[in-house]
Amino acid sequence: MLFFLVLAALISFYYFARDWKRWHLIKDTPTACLRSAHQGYIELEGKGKSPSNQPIFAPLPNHQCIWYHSLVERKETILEQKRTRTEWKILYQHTSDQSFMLDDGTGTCLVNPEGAEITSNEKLIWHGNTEWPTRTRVLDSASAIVALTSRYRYSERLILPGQQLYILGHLQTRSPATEQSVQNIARDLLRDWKQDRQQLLERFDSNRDGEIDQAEWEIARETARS
Amino acid sequence: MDLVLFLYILLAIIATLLVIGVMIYNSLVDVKHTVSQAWSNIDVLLKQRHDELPKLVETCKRYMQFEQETLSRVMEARTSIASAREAGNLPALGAAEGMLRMGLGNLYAVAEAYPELRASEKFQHLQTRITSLENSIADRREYYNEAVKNNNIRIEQFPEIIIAHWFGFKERLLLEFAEIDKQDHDLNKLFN
Repeated sequence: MLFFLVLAALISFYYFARDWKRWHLIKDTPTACLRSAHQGYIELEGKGKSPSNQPIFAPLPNHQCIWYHSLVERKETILEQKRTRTEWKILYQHTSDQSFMLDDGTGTCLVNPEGAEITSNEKLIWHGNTEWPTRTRVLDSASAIVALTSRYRYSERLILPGQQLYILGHLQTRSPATEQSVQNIARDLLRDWKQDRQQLLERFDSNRDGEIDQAEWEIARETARS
Repeated sequence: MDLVLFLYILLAIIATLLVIGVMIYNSLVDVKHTVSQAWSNIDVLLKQRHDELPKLVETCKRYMQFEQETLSRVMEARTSIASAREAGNLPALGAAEGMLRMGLGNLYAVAEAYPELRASEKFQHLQTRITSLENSIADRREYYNEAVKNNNIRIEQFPEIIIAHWFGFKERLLLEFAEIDKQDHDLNKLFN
């Protein structure tokens, strides 16, 4: 009993220390303006927008956004020691790694979401009976019944164009020399991506028409540059 | 047995307080360094502007022979800022910054009466450069003041106040520019 109490206390203290540090990092970091921001770790606030005004589309029925995390799960019933329990098994998940812009009114910067911890208030959850959703979401009063009787659950977290964003991260301004080397790296990356057409389509064919159109190619270029 | 248990609990409480104390100390060090970094960010721009101002004044001198007073005010304010910056005297820096902003405002207003000067590419370039530096200094002053405010609040809060008092964490001064720069310039007075 005492062992469990000590363990619970240690775990609680670990989470307290972690959240306390994070809370102070957010609270004690002043907000910078992009036009005069210094290089390095900074806090920014502004509106999100897509690079070159080309929004991307989340893979579950085409929500226009600048970032997404999409998830499809199937309800599975498992028999365990003469008792059944239900759990959701992940069938598909994808997180956008495409860069988007932040505009704070004094300037703009490109935000690379790869590896970032992103919290979004725009969360959509809906249910259906097909592996891939046939409609965007159920909003009517029957949602709860649909949720109980459906086998599939679809969820998406989104950042929408124009949404107010709060960002903590490392800012780097590119000099002409760096810019040249970025262009060279981006060109090499694009060449590599073109070798594997299937993967290129999976990553950038947001409207799923089997072709990379001009807008999608622009996004691929921006991603390679970021 | 009870005494052993009591000692364990006491030890656990002391260890927890010690760890919390270390966490608070480390976060106060972070806040202090954020203020120092914010100051360095302003300082670098003040140095850049310090180097650009003589070029602007030299360019103006060629066209504005009769405006020596306006030009010397700008240079005086520049010298005051440099002295205050080197001495780390923030109130004096704020006052000198106000003087410089007024001086530059007057200089740009007077320059309107010299079409050749206004047409000069070098003058336009320097004016744009210095205005851009002024805007950046204003932004970074806000950033610095926010960092100072965070520092000052933290070292006055409980339980941080105990650690701050033990380890000598100091309150920092806000950088406030003199009110003079917020007054509207009387353009009629300048041209009469």
